[in-house]
Amino acid sequence: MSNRTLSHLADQAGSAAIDALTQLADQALPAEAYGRAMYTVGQALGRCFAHDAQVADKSVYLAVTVEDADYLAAGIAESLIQAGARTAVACFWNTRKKAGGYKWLDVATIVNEYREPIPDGLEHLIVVKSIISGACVVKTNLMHLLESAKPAHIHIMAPVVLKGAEQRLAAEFEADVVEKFQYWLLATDDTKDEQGNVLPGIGGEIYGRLGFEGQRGKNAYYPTFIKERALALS
Amino acid sequence: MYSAAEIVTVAGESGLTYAQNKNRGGRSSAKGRDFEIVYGAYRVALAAAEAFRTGGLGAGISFHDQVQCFVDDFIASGPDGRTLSQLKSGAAHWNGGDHPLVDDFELQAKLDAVCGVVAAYELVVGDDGQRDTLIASRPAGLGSVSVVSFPGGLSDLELIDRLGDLADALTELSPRPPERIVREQVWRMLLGTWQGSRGDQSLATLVNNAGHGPGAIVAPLLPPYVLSDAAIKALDNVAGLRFYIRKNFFVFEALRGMQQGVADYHCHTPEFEGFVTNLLIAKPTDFFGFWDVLKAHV
Repeated sequence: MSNRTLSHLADQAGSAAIDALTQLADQALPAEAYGRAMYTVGQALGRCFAHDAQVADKSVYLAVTVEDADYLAAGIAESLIQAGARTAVACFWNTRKKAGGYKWLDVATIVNEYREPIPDGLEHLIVVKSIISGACVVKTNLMHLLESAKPAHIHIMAPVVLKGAEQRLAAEFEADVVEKFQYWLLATDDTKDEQGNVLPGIGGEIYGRLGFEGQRGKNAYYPTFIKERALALS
Repeated sequence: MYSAAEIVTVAGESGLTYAQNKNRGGRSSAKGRDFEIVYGAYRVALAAAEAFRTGGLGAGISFHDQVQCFVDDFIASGPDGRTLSQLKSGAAHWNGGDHPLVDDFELQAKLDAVCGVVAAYELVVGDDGQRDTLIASRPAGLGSVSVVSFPGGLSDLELIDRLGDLADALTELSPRPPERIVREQVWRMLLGTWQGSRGDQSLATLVNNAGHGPGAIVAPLLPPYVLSDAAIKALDNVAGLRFYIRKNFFVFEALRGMQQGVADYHCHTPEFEGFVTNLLIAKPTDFFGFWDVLKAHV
């Protein structure tokens, strides 16, 4: 029996976002509708953040994964841009492995990255992820970015997390980094199945839900959201 | 590695029984990060980095544990001889108990002498204080046994941060920039590979198994790959693409440096060969055409 706890942010996000969140858990939802629901959730999270952080004319850097780029992240970016934020984006193609097949040796290496220049004096770094469970991908991408970025605030933005994800993530970083963390979450679930999928979560592994053929399929994809930005900047 | 007859010669039938019982422990289940496994992976990492630095590709180097002998926790064999290590993560004393450490080291030295093995010995303990105590109390006959400390009970990142030689080695083993998270990933691949190996593996086998794709995490211990002239010409035709081979991985930059990547599989794999073959057929001229070719294969 799984339990879901909605956050205070869920109230602020509104009924459309909560409806979309519920749709994501519906395993019968087709890929296209699933992507739209994720986009809607992203718009709502972006609106909440833009309102609370008063982002007009502020620098906001989005760190996203390839599978989230065209959906959750594009929705967030749209709201931020509408609110007048100066946005820039990094996109990561992560390959997840369990070294030697051991659960305790999880890695999420970055095989490709698109990274727009990180502005000096970056105010807000938002790490976007459709779901956070073990926090391995978020840890990897954030640790990689922090090699060169010095953001004033670090935001972890996800529609759903597995209970305890915040503690697992915090345990991987130094205290001076952790004190910059702020979470933007709509729901916390407390259960995952034998395959590691959070229940109800976002309705299973996101690669398949979005129509990708597993990890290899999503890592072969070049997101439209990123391509358009890249062509505009290069 | 050591025959029953050789052991009987040195220690008699009772010594053989002891040696056989001693190595019965085997490896623990997948609960992870046992002192012995972590130390073994550390030694593998150091040896692999040295093999990269010297270009020797690890020829003749192998690692073993739970061997039928008296100092049996970790054994490194190379062209110049063996180093045999006894590991004690908890309390350790030279004397005391049914099988004192001093006896194990003395019997092992006799066994190696009988077998004509050039050997060095070490006792590995879990903290510096215990190391210092054991050095101070080392029996006169064990002057050739070095005592070293190796920290146990740390997270992967803590361990790498603590041990500068390990951090340097992990950087050496990666085709990626020297970042903290990269070092942790290389370490975990080596740790998982050593844990799953059941010991008794050559250095090259261990490293190349750890470097098995996808993911481009650990560089293979293989001869330097050279792109063909035809492949270089085809890649030169991709507008704005910069590329190079780094530690047997194909690495590229594009879109004014905003796009960076590494092929998932190293250059000596069928996957990479498939990429090169299709590159020569497709002849992409822009980055996204190149991406399609790259991702169709690797």
